[in-house]
Amino acid sequence: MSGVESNTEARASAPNRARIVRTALILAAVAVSFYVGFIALGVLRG
Amino acid sequence: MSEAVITADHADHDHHGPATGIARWLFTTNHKDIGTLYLCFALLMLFVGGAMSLVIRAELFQPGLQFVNPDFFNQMTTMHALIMVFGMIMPAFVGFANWMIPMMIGAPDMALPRLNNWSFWILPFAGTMLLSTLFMEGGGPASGWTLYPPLSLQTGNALPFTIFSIHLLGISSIMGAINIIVTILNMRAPNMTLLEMPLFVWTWLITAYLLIAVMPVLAGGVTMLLTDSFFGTSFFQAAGGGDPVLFQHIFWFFGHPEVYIIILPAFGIISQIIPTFSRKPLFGHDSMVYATASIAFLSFIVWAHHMFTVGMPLAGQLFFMMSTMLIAVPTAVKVFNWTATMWRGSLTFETPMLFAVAFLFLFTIGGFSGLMLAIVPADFQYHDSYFVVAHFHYVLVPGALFAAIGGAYYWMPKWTGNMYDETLGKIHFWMSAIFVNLTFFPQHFVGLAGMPRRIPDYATQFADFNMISSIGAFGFGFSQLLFAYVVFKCVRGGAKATAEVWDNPPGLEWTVPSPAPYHTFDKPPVEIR
Repeated sequence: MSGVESNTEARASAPNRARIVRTALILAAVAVSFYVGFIALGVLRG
Repeated sequence: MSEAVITADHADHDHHGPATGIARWLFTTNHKDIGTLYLCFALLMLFVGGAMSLVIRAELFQPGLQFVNPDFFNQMTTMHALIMVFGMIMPAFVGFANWMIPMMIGAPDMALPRLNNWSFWILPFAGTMLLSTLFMEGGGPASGWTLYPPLSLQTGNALPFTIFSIHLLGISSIMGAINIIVTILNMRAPNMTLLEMPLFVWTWLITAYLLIAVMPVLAGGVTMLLTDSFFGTSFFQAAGGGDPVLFQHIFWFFGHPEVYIIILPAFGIISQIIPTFSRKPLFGHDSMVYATASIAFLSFIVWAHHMFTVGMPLAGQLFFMMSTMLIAVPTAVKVFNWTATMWRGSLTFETPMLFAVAFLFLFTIGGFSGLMLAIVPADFQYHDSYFVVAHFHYVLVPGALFAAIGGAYYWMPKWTGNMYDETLGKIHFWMSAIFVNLTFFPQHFVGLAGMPRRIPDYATQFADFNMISSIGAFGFGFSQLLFAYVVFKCVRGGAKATAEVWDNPPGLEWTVPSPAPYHTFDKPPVEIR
């Protein structure tokens, strides 16, 4: 590609899209594990 | 770097204009549209939650029971808090994030636009469900926004609806937070390093991490409340071997970082406004970032200062007292940096700056009363008194809300393309500043004199200060109608705003025309200034 690459196009590129999805999934997994973890804490205390 | 793979059908997406009619707002994936939706929702909720606070203040205007029965009074205190926290101030800052973060980092949109649409559209349904509990048999939740068991377990039909709406609001926040982090980490302008990001972006990045860490904790806590109520478990029921204090620990492990979830974006907005109207770069930019991160870290290890009176070991009391006091250090770094930014600056006091300076003074009052509450033996006296109400309202109203209003005035010309009415803006500021102090400052006195919070009636010795407080509350409430009018007037027309709007303000958002085009930064900005 030559000249100034379109920002949007660059960010729609496959490697970047994969990185975006991977980051989002990791963060979602952290959230779910906190949810499950704190309920587990309640179970253990009970 | 790998070559970008671009398919032909992607090429024209960014040149679409907005859809027309209701479809534009229902199906939009544009960050500016979604930001507008969040901000409009927050403004609506400001008046809904504000009306509830006026019911409270009308009842407290004089001793005795005047207008509402005690149970409805408790429903009002509970719903006012839930609506203001989850329905107003958090969505307001997410609205700012949606509008401004992509423009501040030179990105064309948020990284996950469909998720963004979904995050918003969950909110009205969750809010409506929460409000609908007021019309159910037995009324809405009345155990305070903390939902402490066993009292909350005695709530009637409203409990499952309240818990479900909290779950939905939490999911919305978590999805929004994921979107913000992913956008900031992956879609900055190519030559913008993390430390070169504006403070508003930094504070939101840290806030988003806080949200992901603690919203699931609240969700876990209320899920256990639900199973205690309907499925025979005994997480928090002493009769079944459970521990009600465990809920308090879980709630405040969420609840204290929640305070910073609300105030950190406010810090970010103030850090954008003060340099613009001081005509100087922000003093100590990097130290502000580190201070924000320090506050976020400390927010995880102070939660039990909300529950000193439950009876905890002395070592626990000392730890939570000391860790709470430590927060004053990075917070003071911020306050001194804002002050140093103004020092010898070419100051002017347009409406956003007036709100920012008021924030500086009045938030600091809330911070100092927080330090008083951190002292264990003193807290035994202040706990559950009106002093606590005064403290957190100083943090949340002339703190977070003033920052949000200041931010709205600051960026409104960029959003609408029109200048707001400066005279009306200044009148709105002075009315807000006077009435907010009239409302909340006397609450320190009645609290120190022993008036408990969450009561519809009180001893006659507290009558005068309560009357002043109620007059202030009505004045403050009606002042915000003026704000709504200023916004309405600005959207409808006014003097045309230039791209820069202010006098050489810092930030990429001021390099695009006013109003900001529907799509910005199709091409990455070369200079990030």
